[in-house]
Amino acid sequence: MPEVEISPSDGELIARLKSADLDALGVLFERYRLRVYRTALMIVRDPAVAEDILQDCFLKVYANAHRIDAERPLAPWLYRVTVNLSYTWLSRGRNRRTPIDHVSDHLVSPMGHAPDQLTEQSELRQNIRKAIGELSIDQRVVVVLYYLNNLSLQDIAEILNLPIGTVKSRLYYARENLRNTLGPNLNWLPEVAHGYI
Amino acid sequence: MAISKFLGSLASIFTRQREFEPDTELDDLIRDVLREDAHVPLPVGSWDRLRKSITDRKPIKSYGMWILDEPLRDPPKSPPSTLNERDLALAMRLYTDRRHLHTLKIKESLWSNWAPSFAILFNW
Repeated sequence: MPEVEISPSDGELIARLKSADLDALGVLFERYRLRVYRTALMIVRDPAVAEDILQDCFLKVYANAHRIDAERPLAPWLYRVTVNLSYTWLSRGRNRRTPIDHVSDHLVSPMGHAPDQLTEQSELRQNIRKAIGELSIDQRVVVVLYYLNNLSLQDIAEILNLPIGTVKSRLYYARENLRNTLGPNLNWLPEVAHGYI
Repeated sequence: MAISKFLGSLASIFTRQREFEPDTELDDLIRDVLREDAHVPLPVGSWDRLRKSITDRKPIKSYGMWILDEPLRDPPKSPPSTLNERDLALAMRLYTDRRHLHTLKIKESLWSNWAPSFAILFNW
């Protein structure tokens, strides 16, 4: 993960956090909140739960500040915590909240897209959204980390504590599943990719 | 040693089929869709809520999730089971008014069915 030098560095902020400096947590929150929130949102597909995960994630940062190695980059640790919290929610809270299918219906129509604008072009995109929602959790997590966060296979392997071959295999099968779900619609791909329709 | 080499080469034969090769078109499409969906604004006041959670209460760990230590609150007051004098008078007045209106409506519908309308009488 290429880290750009930002001042103050994550390490400095963690050091300040160890003395319960809430402003340091605020800077870290501002720096990473979107990445954490969006990753959680794409895994659990429920905005309210994603916000809970964001809060829990930074509570963990605060509560575990004394155990975080300030010399190592913080982002992979945050991603791991986000994925863990998402797993926990998916395994325990799934029945207590709105089913994913219902939420995916909501996600299918992003805000700002009027129904009359949903043309054939977006039909394929909707199918892809639905297909991503139907992927197994393991595959969806890898897809989100790879495609949404632009993480390398090596980084994903480190975050998920998996061999790199397993990450490749999950991505391969995830894409195969998407292909199978989309079926003949994939013939449209070149036109869609270049924005012709 | 030879067995482990053999098993390794056997595994590589199977894993080769699952090698993840880039597919630009599908990759771009998946990336676009995910970014489009993820491009939602963060709920307002998220940081304030987190800060308040930390300053007001202590986080505790339970069942693998960090939850907040919720202080025990007093149970809400149960609603009164009897009406005071003023509320009783109001309730009685509303009841009488509604009953009066109800009677009027019944009378009106009865008379409209029994008595012929003005137009019928006029055209007789």
